[in-house]
Amino acid sequence: MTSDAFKARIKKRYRSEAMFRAYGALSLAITAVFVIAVVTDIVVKGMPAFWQHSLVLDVTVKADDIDPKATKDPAVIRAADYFTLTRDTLRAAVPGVEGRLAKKELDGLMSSGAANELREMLAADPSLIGQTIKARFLLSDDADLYLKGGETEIEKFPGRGVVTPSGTTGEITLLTSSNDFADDLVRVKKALAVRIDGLRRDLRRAERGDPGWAERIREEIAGLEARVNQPSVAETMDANLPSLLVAMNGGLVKLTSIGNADAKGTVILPLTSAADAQPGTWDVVTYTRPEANRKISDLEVSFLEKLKADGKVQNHFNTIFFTAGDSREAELAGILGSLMGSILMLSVTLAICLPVGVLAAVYLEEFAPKNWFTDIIEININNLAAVPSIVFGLLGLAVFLNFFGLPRSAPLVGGLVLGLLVLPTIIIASRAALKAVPPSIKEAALGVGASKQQAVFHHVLPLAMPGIMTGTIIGMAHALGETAPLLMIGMLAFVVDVPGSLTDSATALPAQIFIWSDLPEAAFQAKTAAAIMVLLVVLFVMNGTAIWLRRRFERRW
Amino acid sequence: MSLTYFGLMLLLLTAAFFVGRSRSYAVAGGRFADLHSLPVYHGLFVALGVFAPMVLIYMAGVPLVRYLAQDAALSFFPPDVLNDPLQRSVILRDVVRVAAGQFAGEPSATLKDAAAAAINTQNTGDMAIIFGGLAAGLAALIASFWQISLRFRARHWVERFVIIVLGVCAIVAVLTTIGIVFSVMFETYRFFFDPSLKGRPTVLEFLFGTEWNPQAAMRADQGDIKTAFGFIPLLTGTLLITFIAILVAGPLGVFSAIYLAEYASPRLRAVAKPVLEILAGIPTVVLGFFAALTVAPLIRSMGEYYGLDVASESALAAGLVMGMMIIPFISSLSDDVINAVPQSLRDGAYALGATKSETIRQVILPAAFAGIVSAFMLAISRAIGETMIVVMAAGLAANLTFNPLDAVTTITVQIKTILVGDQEFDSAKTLAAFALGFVLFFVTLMLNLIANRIAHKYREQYD
Amino acid sequence: MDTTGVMSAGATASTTAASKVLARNVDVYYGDKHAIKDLSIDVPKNAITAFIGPSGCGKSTFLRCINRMNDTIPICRVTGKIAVDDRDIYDPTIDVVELRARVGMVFQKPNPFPKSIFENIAYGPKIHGLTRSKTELEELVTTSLQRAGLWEEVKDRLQDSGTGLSGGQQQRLCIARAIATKPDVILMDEPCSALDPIATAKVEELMMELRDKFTIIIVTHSMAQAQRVSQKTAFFHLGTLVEFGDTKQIFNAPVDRRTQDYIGGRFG
Repeated sequence: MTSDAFKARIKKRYRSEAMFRAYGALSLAITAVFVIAVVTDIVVKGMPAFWQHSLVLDVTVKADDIDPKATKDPAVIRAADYFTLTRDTLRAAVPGVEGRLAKKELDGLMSSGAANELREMLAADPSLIGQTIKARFLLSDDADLYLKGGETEIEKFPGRGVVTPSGTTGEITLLTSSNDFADDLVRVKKALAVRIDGLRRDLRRAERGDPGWAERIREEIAGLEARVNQPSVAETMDANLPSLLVAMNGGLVKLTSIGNADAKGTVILPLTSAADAQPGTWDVVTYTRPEANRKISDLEVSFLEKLKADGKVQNHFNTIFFTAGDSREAELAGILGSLMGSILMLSVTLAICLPVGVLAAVYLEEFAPKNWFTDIIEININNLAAVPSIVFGLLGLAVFLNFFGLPRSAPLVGGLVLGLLVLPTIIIASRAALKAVPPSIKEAALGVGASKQQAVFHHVLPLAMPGIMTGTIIGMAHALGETAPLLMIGMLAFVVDVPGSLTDSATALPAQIFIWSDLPEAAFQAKTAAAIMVLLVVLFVMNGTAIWLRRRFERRW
Repeated sequence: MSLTYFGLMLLLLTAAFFVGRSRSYAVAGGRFADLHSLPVYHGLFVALGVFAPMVLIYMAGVPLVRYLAQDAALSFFPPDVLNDPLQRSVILRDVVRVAAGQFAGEPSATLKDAAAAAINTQNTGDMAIIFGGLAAGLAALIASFWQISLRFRARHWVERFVIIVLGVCAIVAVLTTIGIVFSVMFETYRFFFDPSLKGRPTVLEFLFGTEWNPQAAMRADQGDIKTAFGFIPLLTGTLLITFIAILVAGPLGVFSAIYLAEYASPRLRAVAKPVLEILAGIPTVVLGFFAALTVAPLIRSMGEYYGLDVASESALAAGLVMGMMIIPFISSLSDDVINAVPQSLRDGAYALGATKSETIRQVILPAAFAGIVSAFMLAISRAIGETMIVVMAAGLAANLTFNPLDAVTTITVQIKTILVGDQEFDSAKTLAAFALGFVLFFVTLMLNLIANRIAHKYREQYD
Repeated sequence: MDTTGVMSAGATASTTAASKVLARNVDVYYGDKHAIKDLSIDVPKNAITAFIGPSGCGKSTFLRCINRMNDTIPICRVTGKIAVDDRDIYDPTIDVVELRARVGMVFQKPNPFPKSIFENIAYGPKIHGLTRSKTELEELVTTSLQRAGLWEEVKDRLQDSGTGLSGGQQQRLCIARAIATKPDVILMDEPCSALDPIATAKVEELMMELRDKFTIIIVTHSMAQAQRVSQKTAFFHLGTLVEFGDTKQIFNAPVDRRTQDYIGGRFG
């Protein structure tokens, strides 16, 4: 029995045992990794959306602009023109910006709702009108995104020699005492080499598919190689190269071309004088990511960096996200509208599901005669629980909207559809809870002369209640996360106002997530993830409550 | 009006309850033991006696009055206008707006008269309902009041009513199914057989057509529009994604269940089960977001690395994430099934010197086979019906392909795409969505029925 | 009370035949529960040994220790020495799968696999690789069934499901399944408790036939059964081995007071 053959066989069997076990552990690990990946991914994407950047600026609120007749009426104050005020305040904070385009870029840093906070401040306290006060102005989503980092890195190289600018504004030339731009030129050539590498990768793909494209790439590579191979020849800067700027004499010059000893550039922030800048007083600043590859221009980066250096940028908790409805502007969009929509919808769902579901369960479990009809109801409920949710959307569309003429996008309809959707779940859970109550309880009640209904409603149902509540909460959580049927009944609408009644146009939290996830702006991606976080937290709390309830009231008969 | 009516009804109900109860006290005259039913039931009996006729009158009266009011308003307009259903509905809408004082601009004289007449009729009708309801309620109150006697079985009547209410609740679920079946069947019938519908396909063209392009039907009479409703590419797309999902979820789910049921320590189980529950509780819109923004780009860049051409909305990305969604579904069902296999079978195998994996593979899994098959069928049904992940991560292009790196579309994606936004219920395009819904409902229903049947049989085997 | 004295006296007194299974100072715990207390015994070769005693006395627990079936219960802990053929079966070098191939077990409730009768018997030989060809396997199945006295009843329906047999047939199928792996020892945990008297008689008959080839240990609630089939009897009480000796001696002239009471029907 314990022959060598047997031993070898056992060894083999144990190897396969270990393999099998490893497969099991691996499956579980993969699943866990996936859950962790989803949650981490969403938290990483969503966390930044809970903060946003504003400018804190001194603003002189002139009575003539806001409330010329000194009515102190909040309505009048709210209706005033804040756009000009905001624009002028920002231009005062970044003086010396010239040119229509540059001014437009500066204005564009502000959100279209930048003055909302100032407006509410003045409406609440009209005595501030006429004073110079500190107020917070919300930045646009692109500016916010830049300040959150990741758009580009900024490197600073201290200048070595003496630089002489040819002017203080406009297009100027910078002359150095010796070859002081040599290192910077080397960096530009290096960047060109990197670009050649990238083009070579494209070339391999192009050669497989499109000969014309490949030819164009080859030409481009040849041109770039020629530039790289002549190390001391001046370079013209373009949007595909890292941006080079010179900070000197209190101003900022963006270089348009660079040689070893001299450079040409455009003044972004005016220089205080055209005097020579001594070594150590000037820097070469590099925005490492080429302008063509980022959302935010060199001008905007420069303005924001100046504002940041002046201590005027504030990073604060994003309250708008929790207090506003949807908006086309990412920085002004919030989830309150959709959250209210979900709450209204769920209250309808609960109002339908709980009584109907529990009573149906009581009927089926305690009173229904055993015949073909009850069998049909049973099979029907089991199968209804597995009908795809989108089919319920079709039902809502055809029956509630078309046949009964209920309004589109209304929480009422959404609640009805979700109610029918989770009804089977609740019936099944309630029946299980009723079944778990031992028959001896009912028999005891019947034994003292209670009618069957009295026994059920006085004894069995109260004992089953914790189980029923657990099932109901889980059903509600399911309803909260459900999206597909809502799309069919128009809850995918762009709704700015927070809905106040069951027939207002509304959207729901998961539908809002779906809407935002479709938008191209990067800021909305973070908003989507943040909204998902809120949804997951709510679901987590609901499910946690259900589990707690189950543990708390779990009874061993 | 409704508020007044139900307010009055509530008052009358309360009154009826107390009247009935005190009547039973009076009848009993102190000998409560002689009363067949408790006084509460007598009160409830009288109240229900009031409730039934009043609700009936309301339910019949309100539509009737609305109809009469519309009639009164429409009588101001010439019949040729009224024969056009579109104009008719515009008039009705305007009348309602004028009556409510929300009409934008200055209404015409006819419209004003019509609105006045409508309001007039409505008011008279409302009054009639209220007074009719009250009269009926009072009459019922008096009638049931005289019913009360020592031997009167008030409790039986009340309980009979309760049973009816319970039964009605149970039937709601059946009505839902009937509602689903009728709504999809009716529109599907129109899609195939309504002669007034332009561009409708025949059933065979729908089932076996290989080209899907519902937009083509919008440009009526352009080219060969009939081929626009070929179902095959949607079917292959759905099956491709489902296949990938099951390929992922099947082994992972079953192995997870085996590991949890047979190998895991109680502590690991205490951690792993909630993790699976979390996964099961993640809304699909969240997984769709993850699929579209994280998994799809990842697969695409990996494909690029290996020199493969991957569509940005590949079937693989949607299938993978859908598979992940289904894992907890399969694992929890399989876990139940594996746990239902009696311990004595395990002992039998161990006692023969079988290793754990041999016991699982050769005794437990064969014994649990039917249950696991049923779990897979339910999972497939779920994958076919899943919407959000594919809407967000799979494409719209109806490609007839089995390449998981290509973009495909599914039945649910097409239903969603067609029905989001404004629909016209007289275009073949809109109705096509209902035909797809019908197919979806039918297929998933069949899968569920068979799966439940198998599961039922399986459970009987070990009970 | 001096239980250890009585027990060790009984244990040493019983070492008459060559012992197949040997236990020394065995303690078994279920979590905090001390299920077996300092048990020592020598089970002789090629004989039937019966374990008797009231419910919960630890006889089944000890039986399951002999082929380490208790390993499947996580909270169960065994200390002391149990040896089969002088090899400590709790030694780390001992392979439990190999052990169970040598020490077969038959359970209280018949537990045929939901497979064909043939597959049920063939399963053990297959996993242990006991046969080299299909004919050899078929032969083994046949002889096992013949030895279990089931062959005549099932030879025409070997491909039918094992769960379709009657209770007694199922139990004999389980015994045949145990024999097929060619074990030295067969443990039987109340093998007849779920069977009717006629089926019980058949199983008992079978046990007595198997006695020559195998060492059989049977746990039973029925003292009549112990008297009928066994040569040796061990009486367990509250987790201790009270008395062990020849069946005749235990039933006719028990030494310990508790054995007398149990045999006399005063508790149990």
